[in-house]
Amino acid sequence: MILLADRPPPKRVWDVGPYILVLPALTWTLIFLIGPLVQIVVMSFYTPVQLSYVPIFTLSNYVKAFTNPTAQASILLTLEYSTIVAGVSVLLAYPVAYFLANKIQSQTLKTALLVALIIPFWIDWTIRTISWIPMLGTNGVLNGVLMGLHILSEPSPLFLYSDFATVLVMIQSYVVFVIGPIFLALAKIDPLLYEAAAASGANRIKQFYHITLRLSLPGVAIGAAFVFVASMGDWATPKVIGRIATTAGQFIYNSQVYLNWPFASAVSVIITGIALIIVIALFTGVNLRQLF
Amino acid sequence: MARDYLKIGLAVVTIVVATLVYSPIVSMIVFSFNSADRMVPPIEGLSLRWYEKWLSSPEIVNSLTRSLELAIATAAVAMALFAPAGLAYKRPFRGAEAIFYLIILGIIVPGVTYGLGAIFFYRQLGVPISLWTGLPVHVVWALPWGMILVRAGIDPMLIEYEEAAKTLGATSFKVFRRVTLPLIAPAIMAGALFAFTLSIGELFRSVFIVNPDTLPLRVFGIVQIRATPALLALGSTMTIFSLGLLVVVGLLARKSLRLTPAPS
Repeated sequence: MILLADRPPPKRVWDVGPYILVLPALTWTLIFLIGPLVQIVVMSFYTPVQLSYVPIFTLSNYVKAFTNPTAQASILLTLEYSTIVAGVSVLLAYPVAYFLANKIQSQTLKTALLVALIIPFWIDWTIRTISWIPMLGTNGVLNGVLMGLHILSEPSPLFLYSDFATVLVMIQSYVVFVIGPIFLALAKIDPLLYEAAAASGANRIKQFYHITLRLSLPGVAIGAAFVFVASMGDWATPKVIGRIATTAGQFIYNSQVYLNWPFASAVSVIITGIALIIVIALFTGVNLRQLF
Repeated sequence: MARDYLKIGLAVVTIVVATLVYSPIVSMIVFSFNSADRMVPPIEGLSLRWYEKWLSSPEIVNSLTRSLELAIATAAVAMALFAPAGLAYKRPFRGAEAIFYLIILGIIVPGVTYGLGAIFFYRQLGVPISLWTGLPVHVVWALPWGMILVRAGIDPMLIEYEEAAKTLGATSFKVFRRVTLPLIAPAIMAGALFAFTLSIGELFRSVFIVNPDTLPLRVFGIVQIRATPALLALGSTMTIFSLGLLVVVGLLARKSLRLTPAPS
């Protein structure tokens, strides 16, 4: 005890340790992420000319993005997809994360099930997506099953190359990214809290609402934010398996293909702005530090 | 009884999600053996022709090799960056949260936006597009996940354990080697595995800035023209290979856990 008392108090004010540790990651992010983002913002104010651009300041790209009906429709369609995908993913992911965190006792089984959910992501994204074709096609497995069950009297062509297919494939691609953070948050909850709550007379519903749900909200927010943003930036799913419609991502992709970089940049700035607003809104409602 | 209904309900949703995640995988494996040259039922006969087809395509094999190279490099570089960064958060420091959110931007910026910005960035610097121009971009995307995992994986007692080891006379290096590292190693390994997984499947950010192509770019290009069962055969092979790799890693991990004495 004497030893402990004799030690000088730990230095706090000038402790450079944490800064040295985060510096490499921070530098990398500043150069390779912030650098490109600044370039996009600058480019969005340049004047487009045929297949190129000139560095003359203009607001015309933004005016076009907000007034052009095709651009507007594509931004709205993207928001629609993202909202549905994020909402359904959270509703599906929460019970799964809860089941894995609280109802599986064996640690080995828990790890195995978590790994089992990740394995599909080692398969190429495009291959995973086109693998839905035999399932969803007019002659496909889903139609066969539904007709066998007499739910449908004739095969429906609506399952493939439709909004349904886009949303289904996006949920399949992203749901695991919601399960992960919610599982993490649930696993961090101290079981003693439930005993304390039960001792003070809280029933199961109250316990779930006041302890489980509230403490897992940071996980929900991270998962929902990720899925929302991922679906916003996803230009390929509708192209491979959805109906012929242009999402904001495809709009940017196509503008890049036609080398209209200033316009592509303006649409990028707009959807990134929307993404940031949504993420900030999700994060301010919860205390993310509960996760750590 | 009410508890049992809850458990059954949860299990049902879990099975639904598992079905959703796995049904294309099952469909991919089944239809890869179809001898007919189309992607939909019925299955005409069983054959390995689609496997022969992709294995004999040097373009696909080369792009797969490039994907593996890039994914391994991404995992290594990301690990070197996120492990110390996550560890910095074992105690609070000024500006900690601002720095955290700045790095997290890597997963908040939509992929297509970042990919576009990256072209301008490389153009401005005069860097020619190659396989390795993908590395910084993949690392930016993988790094936040690793940092979150390490930060979340820090034992609340870590600082006390370190202090205890120091009090007992361990050098800083020994404290790190025998106390800190064993406690955060699982989170670091998980982050590295995650970085590998993200990189090997990356399409949305790479499309503008990686050339010659990686496997996702190659496959996407093929699908633009015509999807064939050869792609299903390729996907099936990758699945079997990944599962085999996972079993090997799992066995090695168990063995090494048994051989290493608990940190004392």
